[in-house]
Amino acid sequence: MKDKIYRVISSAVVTLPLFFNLYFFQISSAIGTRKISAVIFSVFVTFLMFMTLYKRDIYKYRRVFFIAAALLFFPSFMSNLISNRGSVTLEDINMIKNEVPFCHMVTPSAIIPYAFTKTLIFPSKLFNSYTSVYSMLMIWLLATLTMGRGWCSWVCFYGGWDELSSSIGKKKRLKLSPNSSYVRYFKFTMLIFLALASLKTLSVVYCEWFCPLKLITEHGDTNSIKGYLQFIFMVVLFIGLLIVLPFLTKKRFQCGTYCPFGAFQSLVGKVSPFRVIIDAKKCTECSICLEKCPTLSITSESLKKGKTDKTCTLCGKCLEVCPKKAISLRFSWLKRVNSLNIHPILNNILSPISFLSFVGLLIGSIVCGGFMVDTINKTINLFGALL
Amino acid sequence: MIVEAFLLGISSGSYCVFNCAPVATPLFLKENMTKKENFRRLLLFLSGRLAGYLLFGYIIGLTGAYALGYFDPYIRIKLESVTMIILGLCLLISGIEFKNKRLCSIKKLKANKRIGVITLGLLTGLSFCPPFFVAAGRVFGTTGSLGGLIYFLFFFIGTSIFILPFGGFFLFSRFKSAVRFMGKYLRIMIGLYFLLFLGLLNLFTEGVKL
Repeated sequence: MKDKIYRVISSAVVTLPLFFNLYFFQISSAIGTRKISAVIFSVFVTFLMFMTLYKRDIYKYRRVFFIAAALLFFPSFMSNLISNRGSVTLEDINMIKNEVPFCHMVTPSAIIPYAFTKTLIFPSKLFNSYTSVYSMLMIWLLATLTMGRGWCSWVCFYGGWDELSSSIGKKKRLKLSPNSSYVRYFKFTMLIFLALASLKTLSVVYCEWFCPLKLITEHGDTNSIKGYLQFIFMVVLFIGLLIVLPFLTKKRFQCGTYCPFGAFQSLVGKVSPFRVIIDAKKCTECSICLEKCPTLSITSESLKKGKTDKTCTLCGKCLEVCPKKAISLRFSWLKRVNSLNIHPILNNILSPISFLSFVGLLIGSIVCGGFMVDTINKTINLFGALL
Repeated sequence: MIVEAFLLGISSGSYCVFNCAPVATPLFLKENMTKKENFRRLLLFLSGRLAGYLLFGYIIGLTGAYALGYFDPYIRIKLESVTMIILGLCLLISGIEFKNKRLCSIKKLKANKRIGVITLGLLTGLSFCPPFFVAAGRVFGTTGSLGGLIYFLFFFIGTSIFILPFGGFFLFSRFKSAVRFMGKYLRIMIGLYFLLFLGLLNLFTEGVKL
């Protein structure tokens, strides 16, 4: 009972700053039905935050937010494109005017050509917009410094698609071994290939040909052979990588094996203070974590080393499934905090789980909040109009 | 003329690197590659390039103005497409390891073999980039066969400045498994890119750029 009270208090203490943030950035400035939508969104995120901390279960509640973000993103994005441009088709005039919202997925493809040629190959505004290059880069930098590849499980508004597909049904129909080098290195090869191809062509090759999300965002016209081929590519990639393969393998296939941005985050994400540690004394080598990890980030080799691979997205699945509770989240460069002998309330507040949940949901709500509130608002208005 | 050829080679710099990097990178990404082996591969690759340039310089100087009339832009694009198809096939074959070795009858073109490295060097040397055509144009009407050889020798020296850094890829042999698999994937991806986008689509249509 005492423990429960402590957990309620510590969870509330960490949740309150997040709620205040949501209040100031979402609720206070909204008017009309938008205010109602902002309240619904804020209560939703606050509830998830509180439950994550109270239950000490990152995976379950994070996943709800993550899938909701993915599902609520595209109705808002596409409807805004239609109301602003008249269609979701990307015309040459939109690119000439730099009207394309900057997408974090092209960051690695854009950096190298920019470094060599001082040319930004993505047709986006640099400043003065929520979706401008600098806004997105600042948020990305903040997220990378705090969470590293945690971005891929807390902030990315695309990843929820394969998380959702992989959670439908329980039977695994296609086995995907995390130990297979073919599986592990493909995304890094994609990263190198796309960086070189973007440098060679000075165009966003990933965006034009290899993005599986084009079907639910914006895409080029199909009036030419190029456009027709691109359309075939995007349909095949969307269905294959985000629906069929995650469903068959029960893994986040796109995030774990294909996404070049994920590969990039794995390389730069080492600055993050969070590490998932496997206690060798408690570990019985049952390999459940290895089998269940959605992004194939635990291998036999990493298990022996007592840690996850650098591709770990801090999703929390291994913490949940380990029967011996041998896996824990730790701070890498604040080691003293890991073993503080203080009051349980303070201990809970200063725990890595509290920090990760707070940072994850804070940055997640900053990046996805606008879209999510917008979709809720449009749904309310739609129902209002129908009634 | 020699200085001009050398400067023309240097001027191809970024274009040359952008075109040859996709071929050269996977070539030097190989498991357990020692500094010596890496250097040997680099020499083989460069010798292939040199052979390609010299051969081309000699032939083009010899045929001279007679061939000039046949080299309109349409033929240039088609010739480039054929070269790209051959390059793409080489890379694809080198990227796909057949379990049954007998399936691969043109093993000699595999990048792991010396002849494969030389062939890739030769074919990248003969890729029809703009500076290459400028050099060819100069040789056509002015130098003759010997002059063509010398001109392209110095053109080769100029372009090689940008190829030499690829000799540093032995450092990556630290990451044995990763390098091996990424090199294979890269060869397949780039092979497909050359074969489909720069080769077949350019050969049979007006061209589709990546």
